[in-house]
Amino acid sequence: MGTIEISEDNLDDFAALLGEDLCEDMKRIYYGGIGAVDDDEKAVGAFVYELLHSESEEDTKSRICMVRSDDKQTADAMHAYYLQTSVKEDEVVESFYELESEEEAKALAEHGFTLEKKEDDVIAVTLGELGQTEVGKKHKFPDYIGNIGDLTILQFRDAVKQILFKGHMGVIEDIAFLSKGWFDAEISACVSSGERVTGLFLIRRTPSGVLIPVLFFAYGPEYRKNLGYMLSYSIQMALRIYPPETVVRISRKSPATRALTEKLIPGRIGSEIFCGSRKEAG
Amino acid sequence: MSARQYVSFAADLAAVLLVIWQLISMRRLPGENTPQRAYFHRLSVVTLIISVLYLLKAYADIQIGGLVPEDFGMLSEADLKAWYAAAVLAWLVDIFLTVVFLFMWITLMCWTLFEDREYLRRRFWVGFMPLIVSAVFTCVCIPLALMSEQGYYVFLVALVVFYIVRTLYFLLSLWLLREYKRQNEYLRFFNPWFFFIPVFAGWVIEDVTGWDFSALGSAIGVVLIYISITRVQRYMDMETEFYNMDFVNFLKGLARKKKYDPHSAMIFMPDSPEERKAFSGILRSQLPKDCEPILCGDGRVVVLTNARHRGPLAMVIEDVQALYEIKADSVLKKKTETAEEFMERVL
Repeated sequence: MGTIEISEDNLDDFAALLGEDLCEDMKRIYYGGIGAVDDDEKAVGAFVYELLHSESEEDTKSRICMVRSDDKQTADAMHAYYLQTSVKEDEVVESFYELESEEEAKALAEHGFTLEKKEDDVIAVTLGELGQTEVGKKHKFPDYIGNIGDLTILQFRDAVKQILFKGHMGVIEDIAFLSKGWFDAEISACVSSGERVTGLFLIRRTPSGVLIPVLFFAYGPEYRKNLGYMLSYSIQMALRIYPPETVVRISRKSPATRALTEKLIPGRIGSEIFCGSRKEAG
Repeated sequence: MSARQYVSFAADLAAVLLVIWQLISMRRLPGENTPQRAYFHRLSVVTLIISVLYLLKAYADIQIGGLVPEDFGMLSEADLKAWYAAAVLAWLVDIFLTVVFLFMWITLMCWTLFEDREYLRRRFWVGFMPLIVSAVFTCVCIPLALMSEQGYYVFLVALVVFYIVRTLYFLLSLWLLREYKRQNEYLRFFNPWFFFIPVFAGWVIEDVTGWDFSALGSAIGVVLIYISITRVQRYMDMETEFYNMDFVNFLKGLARKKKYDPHSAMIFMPDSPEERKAFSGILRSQLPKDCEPILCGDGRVVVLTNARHRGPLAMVIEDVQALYEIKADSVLKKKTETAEEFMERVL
């Protein structure tokens, strides 16, 4: 049994363990993975993490996304590799996890992580439920609200730049490195004010069909109205294209998003997940 | 000649001279003819026309000797008709120019704060309709005022409504400022209060006392805004239109007062002054708003930004390097650094 770094070259070998969504995420800049292979070079374990704040002024943290292994020896080997490579090289100050699987959480707890339960910041709603909300029922939009498919690459890039320089990153850190094609062009909305794009509502559709809002921001004199228009537009477009059972996963880490989801879907809470952390020796 | 006539004439003359000085000064100002400059020029011209109109009114007031309604019986028919025509024309022009003045100011605010002409185009008819309707109604009532006492009171009511609507539109520009401040930390070299206070004070003094101060208030407002905007020239390198090291001292002063806190910087390293000049236009076209490129003494161009992550910096560097081959780097502020320490390190 040996441990190796999961890269784009060997990603297909671990696809069954990672699942299609995490496989796609592994191609992103801040994701890393350690794989375990048996003597026949068959994948028997995977340890996936995402680096947070590695290129900001904050201390670098590592969010562990998945720990899969056949046995304890494999898990130990992958964990040791994680410590020697990512933690050291990327100067990780703290590792943490938020996982649904109790088994994975316990595997981490055996390596010095704390283990608690909490309500997930991410809630899952269906498209149909969003369509029943007050904002979801609106059908009229001004003609300056459209989808990002109508934007050129330069316009999209400029819009993302303007928003990032205003200090808003959305729910992911690598938005600056993602192309327009990473988002769902038909349901992601934008506000086009003349030559400029002054608002974006970017939604990612994962390979498994889940919709994930990633960035929701507008600026200018009518930014609040435009946020509402973009939300309505995206819900309407999504309902036209996807079935109402389509799952939408909304991260409520920011207070503004939490307030918005509470207004749209009052009383909806996240599921119970396992979480924990560990300070890394610096 | 009464004190009111003296003071009103002097105030209107001062207004005309102030705006003429400002327009001449603006003509001599170097730099591109940006939309902000064009909008500001139009506002200044409208202010000059208003000031000249008020000056002519004040002069006419002095010449006629303060004609009041009881004196009308002493005028010949021809003189009376001429007086009516002049009065109607003066009111019409005054109301028209007030509407144009407000429109120019709100356009300038919109462009300076948001660089969004489309917003104005979209909102023009709906947004300015109350002001236009009120102005038109007041203009229609002007002849009524000269026909009978009842007509005069109808005109007065229409005029008061117009003044209230005018004030509300003035407050609209305060709302624009508030919306801007909700989403942005800094507003440099454009202080709308320098315009609000004198203009509003001029209107109030004139409405309350009858003394002609509105033109002078508008002129002072326009000149103060001009001085506020052109302060930036002091901090610019005219060849490249980058900021100079005096601007750094200005920013450090703001940082000490906790009014400025950059989180990152991009550093561009042109090999020669010629290269610096050649690439300046490209850099300025790729920089988002509120990013200020500073020309350091050693020839580097440093752009201080609010971005807290290297990702957006990498985007800008990539876009600049796609258009022009130049060495570049990015630097993030450390958690333990103050804004001043960061600027010392980077500049």
